[in-house]
Amino acid sequence: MKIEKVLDAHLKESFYRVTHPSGLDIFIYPKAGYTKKFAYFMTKYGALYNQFTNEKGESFSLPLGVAHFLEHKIFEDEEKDIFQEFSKLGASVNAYTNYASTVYYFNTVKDFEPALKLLVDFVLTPHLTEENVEKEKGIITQEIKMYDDDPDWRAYFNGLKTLYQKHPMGEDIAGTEASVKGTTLEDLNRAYDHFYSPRNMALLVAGDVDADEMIAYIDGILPEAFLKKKSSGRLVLDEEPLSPGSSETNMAMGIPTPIFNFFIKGPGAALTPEDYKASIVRRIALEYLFGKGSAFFNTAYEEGLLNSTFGYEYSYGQGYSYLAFGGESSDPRRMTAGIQSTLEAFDREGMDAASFMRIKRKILGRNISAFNSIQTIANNFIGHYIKGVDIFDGMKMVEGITMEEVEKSLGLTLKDRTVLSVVR
Amino acid sequence: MIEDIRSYDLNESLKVRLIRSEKFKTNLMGLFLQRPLTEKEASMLALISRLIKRGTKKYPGSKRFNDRLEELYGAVFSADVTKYGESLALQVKIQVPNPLYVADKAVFREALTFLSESVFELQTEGEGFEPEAFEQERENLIQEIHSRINDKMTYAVERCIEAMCQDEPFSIHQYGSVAVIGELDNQEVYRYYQEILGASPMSLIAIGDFEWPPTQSLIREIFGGRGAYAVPLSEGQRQEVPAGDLRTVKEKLKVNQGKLTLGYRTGIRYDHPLYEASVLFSTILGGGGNSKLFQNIREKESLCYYIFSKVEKFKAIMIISSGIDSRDYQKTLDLTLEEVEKMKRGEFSEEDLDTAKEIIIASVRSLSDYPNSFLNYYFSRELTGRKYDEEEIIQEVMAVTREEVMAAGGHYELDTIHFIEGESDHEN
Repeated sequence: MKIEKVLDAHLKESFYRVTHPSGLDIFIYPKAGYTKKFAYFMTKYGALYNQFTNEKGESFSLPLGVAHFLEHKIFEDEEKDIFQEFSKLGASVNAYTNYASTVYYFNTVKDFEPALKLLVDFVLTPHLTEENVEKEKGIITQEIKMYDDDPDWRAYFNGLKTLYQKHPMGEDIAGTEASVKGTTLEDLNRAYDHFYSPRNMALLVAGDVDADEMIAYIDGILPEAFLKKKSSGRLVLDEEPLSPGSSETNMAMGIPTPIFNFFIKGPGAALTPEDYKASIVRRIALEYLFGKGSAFFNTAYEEGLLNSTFGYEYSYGQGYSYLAFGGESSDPRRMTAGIQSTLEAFDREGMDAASFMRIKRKILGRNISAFNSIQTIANNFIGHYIKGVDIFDGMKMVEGITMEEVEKSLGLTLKDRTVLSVVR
Repeated sequence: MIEDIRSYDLNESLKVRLIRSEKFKTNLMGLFLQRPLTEKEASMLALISRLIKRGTKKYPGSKRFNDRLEELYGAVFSADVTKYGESLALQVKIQVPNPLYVADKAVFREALTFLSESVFELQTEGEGFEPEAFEQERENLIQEIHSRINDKMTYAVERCIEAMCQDEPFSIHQYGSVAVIGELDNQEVYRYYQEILGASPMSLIAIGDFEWPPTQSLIREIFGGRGAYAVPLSEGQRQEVPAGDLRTVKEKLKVNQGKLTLGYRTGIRYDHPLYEASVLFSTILGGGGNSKLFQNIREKESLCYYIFSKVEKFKAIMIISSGIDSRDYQKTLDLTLEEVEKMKRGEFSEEDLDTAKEIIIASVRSLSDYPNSFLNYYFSRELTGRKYDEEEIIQEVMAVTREEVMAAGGHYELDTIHFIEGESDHEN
């Protein structure tokens, strides 16, 4: 095992990166003085992976939402109830699935090691049967319906559906009622066999722990059969056209103020440090142009066109990138016109040095604050890991970014690549 | 880990609580101002909390106000109103990086100054708020209240409480009402704010890694002249009523998922000897993945994705909340009521009780890991008239017996069944 300490001397934060012979990545993030300890066990397998190939050259196409369905079923065990087992240890367990990963995690204030063993055991020992797969369908259907009733969620995902014609970013993470109904035991087993293997997974422990003891403990609880597993799947993406399916999508939900999301589609990205740096540069530009201190926000706010729900982001991953803006607005069309003219003016005029410094300060300050909470650290840690960088990289990059880089960063604002999604 | 807490009164109306914890990278400061809960006061305070973000005398207008926060290393600023039983608190908070981690060492002082100015030196025009800002924030607040319906889970619980407590102050929303807000007069709200600033109990609570003497003198310098005399809030506001005839309220909405909410009268709030037992009753019943409701209604019957119960600390009620297919209304209702009855009959194991205790104790122990949660908990603990003492709180939970949990349950009476029915379900 190779153990490497990664340090941010200025922040006084550090973690240990362990490269296990099996291919499993292990990270220990000691945090002195904190009561709760956390563990995250994840696989780089999420909702994007409906189509994949394996090393034997076989191709698979599984129903939408399989990664999420599998996340639910991993908790199944005929002999004991996983939730109760964690509760007995005073620990609280949960999981989530997003486009790029599935993450199982728990936290506890005591008995950390037995709970960690329980986490590793239940994720690595599935108990799927035809019967319990059937039973889960009602629960997942209610989960889908709960999200269907959330207008913010709908406005966002309706927009993504329209933005992407082939890429699975256009599909709901949980799939559809029909795809859930059509999911079989075989589909779930197939996904599990390919993606729940050492070279596809990582384990993160964070809290007031001793790194050496923890590494030794983890090494002792990993099952032999798992360590020998060599399988993995490779994501297959169809060619995605640069233009969206259409430029607009509307839905009626009977809500008091319309909710809009405005998307600008960018080219396909990848999970490299260069893509990550580009995202930081774009974040500076977006904060300057659309943040609470921006001329755009304050003018639109005072005109009553938007309120404090307004938000914006640059998002990217395998084969996609986009800018998104959204919130409540009485006049979504005027909002999108304003967003577009703000972006166009930025291309022509750039920014001033004082604002550039102010935004850098803001991003540095927010980054420092993010090291207050272990949950935030863990989520950021996993987010960075998936993007091929580490959690300290962002801050280091911000220092070196120039104003010229920022001014050139949003040149992806072509008019025929936009989607306006509105829920009324 | 909390290293030390200093408590003192700066003057008659302003209490200071300094909570030192070395592990945090930030300093968080909150100013809490307490008021009684009435529809008028809630409406006015909610509007004031929004106007606070529209500028100070020194940083007038929302742009300059927000620019200043960005200069302070992206300080996180919030101003809002929270309901504690039959009282309200205006809470204004600011969080900045600890000077140890940034180049500009004045950031802590500047943030405290900004907090003080945002509460005591709002931008004004004549004897009122800036008129345009007043009208815009009035509109925004009304819109925000209407938009409560967007978050169906929270909305369902709030509607149940409104129906259940319709004759009590507790039914008042912390943001007041659209009708009252629509009628508020700028000068009237301004005068009200000037009055309460000088005559309400206030707490300044700070949590972070700071040194005592310089911080104390800094607070004296910045807040020394603030506040004047406090009129204690009358306790006469408090009102608990027993469960009346069972009320069933059905609402139709354009939703895919029905929301079933049950409101129980418990007769037990924080100052009742059975309060901890009542919390444990609710935790065994519906407090997480191992609870009776989750295990039976979700895992066994596949009726829902979420179901939980919770007791209010400052009001003697318990709420059970779930999201279901509207066609399963009767079945879910029957099974849920049965789980409550089983709990009351004592059909839970020693292990269930121990597990529930573990859950509560873990949440108490870990409070100090979260600056904002700890600040809020500390404030609410003081509202109960008791000091924060982690070991004492845990001892109280540990000491609860099975008989006490059953005794607490014996007080529970179903008062209101509230159901939000999906219109679309009828088309099936």
